Amino acid sequence: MKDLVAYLAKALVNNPDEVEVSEIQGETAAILELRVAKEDLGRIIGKQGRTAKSIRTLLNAAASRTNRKVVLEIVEEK
Amino acid sequence: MSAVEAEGSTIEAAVAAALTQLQADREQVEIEILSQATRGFLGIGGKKARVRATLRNPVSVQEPEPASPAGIDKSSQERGRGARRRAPSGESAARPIPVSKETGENACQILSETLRLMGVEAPVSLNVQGAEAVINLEDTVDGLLIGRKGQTLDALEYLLNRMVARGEEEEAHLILDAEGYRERRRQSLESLALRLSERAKRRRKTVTLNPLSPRDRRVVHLALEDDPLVVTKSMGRGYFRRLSIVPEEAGSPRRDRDRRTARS
Repeated sequence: MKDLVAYLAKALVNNPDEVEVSEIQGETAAILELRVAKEDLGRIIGKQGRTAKSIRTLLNAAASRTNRKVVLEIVEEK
Repeated sequence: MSAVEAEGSTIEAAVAAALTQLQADREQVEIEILSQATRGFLGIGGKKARVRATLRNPVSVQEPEPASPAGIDKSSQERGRGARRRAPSGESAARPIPVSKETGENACQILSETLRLMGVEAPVSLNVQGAEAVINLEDTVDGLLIGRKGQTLDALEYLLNRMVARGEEEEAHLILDAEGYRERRRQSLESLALRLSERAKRRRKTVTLNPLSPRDRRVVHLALEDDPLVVTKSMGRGYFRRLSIVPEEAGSPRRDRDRRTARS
């Protein structure tokens, strides 16, 4: 899952080196935290959140075969 | 005498078409714009751009013509060459750029990698037909890649196009299909459209569909395009854009559409 998000994110942004994904395992769900360069935030979210939504859709599809849920958080650095 | 009129989806396309007809270079003709293209909407109802191209007097602008007995032949040859040379650059600005083989193969590679990371095994095949490139997936896990109402397939298609288009100015549009899903969806939408248009005509009332994706709305519009008894309209914005089927002579459609909505 983590690799999937990293791969997609790197292919979407202008600064692939700044893509970071960390995984936090919960009891029933895994939370993926995605960090990208500030200027790439819009590329990850997309118009009306369409890109972010599409990534989540793919994650859910991939996760549907496992028993765990996957939550994608896009983290904005302050 | 040497003037032609031509049309195209944009002014540039119309000009390019005119130049091909005249076998002339852009510098050799006078272009008069007869009408601008209008977008219409969702690719239908738009008007094409029309231009008139008139050949300037055949004195070649760019190169002095050697006076030779074969002069006429020669100049027409040059023009032919010019037109051909001209075509690619003129076209690239105009119509939707055809998806190149490299782009398609690149897309296939990205897609395969994505699927691998998703833990799904699904053979991918590319099929380029003219300006359309369709990538077909074999969904080995029953419907996993299609998802509810095709949402997974749409997400994959959207992301794929974004990833492929990155860094390039022109956006090529690749179509992603799995197990003939697109065609099945089209057929079920068409029959839905016909059923609802019958209902609209019978009750003489506007029938409104649930929000659909632009692609799906387009199918409905096209399905009812040739029916003189109903008109199709879309109202609202973004995700809430809904399509209405309005029977002809339904009185005031505004009142109808505000009060009544039907489930699709």
